[in-house]
Amino acid sequence: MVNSSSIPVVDSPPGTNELELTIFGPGIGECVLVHLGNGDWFVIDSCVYPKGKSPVALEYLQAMGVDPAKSIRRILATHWHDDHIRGIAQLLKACPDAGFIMSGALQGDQFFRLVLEVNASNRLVSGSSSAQEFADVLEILESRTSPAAIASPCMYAQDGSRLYAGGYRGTSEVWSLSPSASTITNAMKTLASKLVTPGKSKRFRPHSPNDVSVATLVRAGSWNLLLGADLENTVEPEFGWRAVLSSTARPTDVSQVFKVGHHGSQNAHHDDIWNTMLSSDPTSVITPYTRLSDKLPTTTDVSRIQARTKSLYCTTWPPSRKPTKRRAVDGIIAGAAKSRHALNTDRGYVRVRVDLSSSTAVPSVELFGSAAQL
Amino acid sequence: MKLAEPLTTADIENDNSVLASQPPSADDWIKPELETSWTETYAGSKVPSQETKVPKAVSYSAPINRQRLTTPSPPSQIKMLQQWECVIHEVSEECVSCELHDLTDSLCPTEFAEIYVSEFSDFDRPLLEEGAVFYWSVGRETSKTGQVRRYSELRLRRMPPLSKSKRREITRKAQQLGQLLIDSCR
Repeated sequence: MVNSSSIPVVDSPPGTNELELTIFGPGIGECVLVHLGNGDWFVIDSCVYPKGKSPVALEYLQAMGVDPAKSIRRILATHWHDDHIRGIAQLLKACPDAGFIMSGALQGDQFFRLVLEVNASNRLVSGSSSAQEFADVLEILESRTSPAAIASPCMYAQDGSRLYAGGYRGTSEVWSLSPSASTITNAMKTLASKLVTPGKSKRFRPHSPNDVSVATLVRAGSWNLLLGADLENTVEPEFGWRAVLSSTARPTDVSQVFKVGHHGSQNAHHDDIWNTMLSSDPTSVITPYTRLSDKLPTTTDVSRIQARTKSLYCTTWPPSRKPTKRRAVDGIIAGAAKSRHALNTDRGYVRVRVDLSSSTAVPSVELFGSAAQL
Repeated sequence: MKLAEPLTTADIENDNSVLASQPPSADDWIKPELETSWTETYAGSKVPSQETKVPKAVSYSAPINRQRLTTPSPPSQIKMLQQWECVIHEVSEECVSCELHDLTDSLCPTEFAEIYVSEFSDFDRPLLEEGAVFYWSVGRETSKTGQVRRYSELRLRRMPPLSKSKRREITRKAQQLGQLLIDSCR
């Protein structure tokens, strides 16, 4: 069943026996909320919608009358790209009881040094950078850990870690499928090479590669969700999706719902994900990426995924539009810019709900704002 | 006396005030006969010094208007229409792909653009790399003569290197954080 609404409508919260997956993706950024049942929410990544003041997870839950501070159990930052962590510090601050989980590839002093060094000299006037967000997250975590008792756990995710258990009848679980042990080792070396050389300033936009991303599997009742984050393929079998497919540490459940990895790009596609980790014709959701001139998903990407499922949705479609016209300005910059586009400001998102108490339940898919079925 | 006529020594002797307010005409420089040498005053007006004879054949140059040289001309006026803070995502030979955050109106949605590398000044081009931040200002410039031109300036942000003490402080803080988080993960 598909309902469509032109205005984002947030109605009542899911029932205690309902599994909910809500995916936000405004064109840059991504945030996934999972209601595991019984009022327990698990948040994966964070983004702020255009013209938005707060992280979308806070806005969404508050609009439904759910208190984020009491409901969000865990916040996972899948990787260190600013399109996935914008507003995550604000979210963490608003949820003092929520545990914070980050990729195991980002553990250690070197990552923290890199964050703090970049943050020391590279703050933006207009908003936040990934370094700023993470530096703020570290500050919050430090303030939590300095007292004697640690109220909420911090955790490093890697292949085969159970990140949370609770929710519906206490049996819902969230598992991390990546990064692999090899990815973690490799990331440590990469981070070391990016540290500031004495006497030099740091200009680069520091980020970890997508293979450190934390892909997750949610198990709730008879329903499973595969959430691909930005995990990509690599040539080497010990990294990315190839490592997930060959892992013996992860649960091997087949998922009926799929958040397609890395904005539907070819780099994140592997036939065996569809053949072995997903049911036939799974409900699939893409979050678009409009930052570069090569936007994702491309028409080829959409066709490739449509060949695998008839139920393909995108959180914002079209993901970009022409910039607002200002004749005086447009004339001046026309000669300097080869191309120019703006984010689609319609707040689109996709929501899937299913009743966990019924063995014959059919999931409902709801599209809000500029979300669309492809 | 007719002001348009060249001044003579007699004129000078008779009426210094006229001379002080009236600059010599072009003919004065072309056909000097018996001329007065000029001295500059603070205000830039010219008064004759003690009369001296200037030989006819001597080449003659225009007096220096010191006021013009030392006082800046009225600056051109720039009316800023829009400013962005831009973060570079990719640099190719031809273009810089970047994300534009509007500093003029924070409610404007984020934009993305490919800007030609040739638009950046020579001394900024070596700094073009992923993660670099620059500011783009566009507007209209009205020159002192009233001419209106389009104005566009791209300026890379420069960052000082971290001091030794700052780096030491960061290293210490990072080690502390690393230990705290490891402890909390147990």
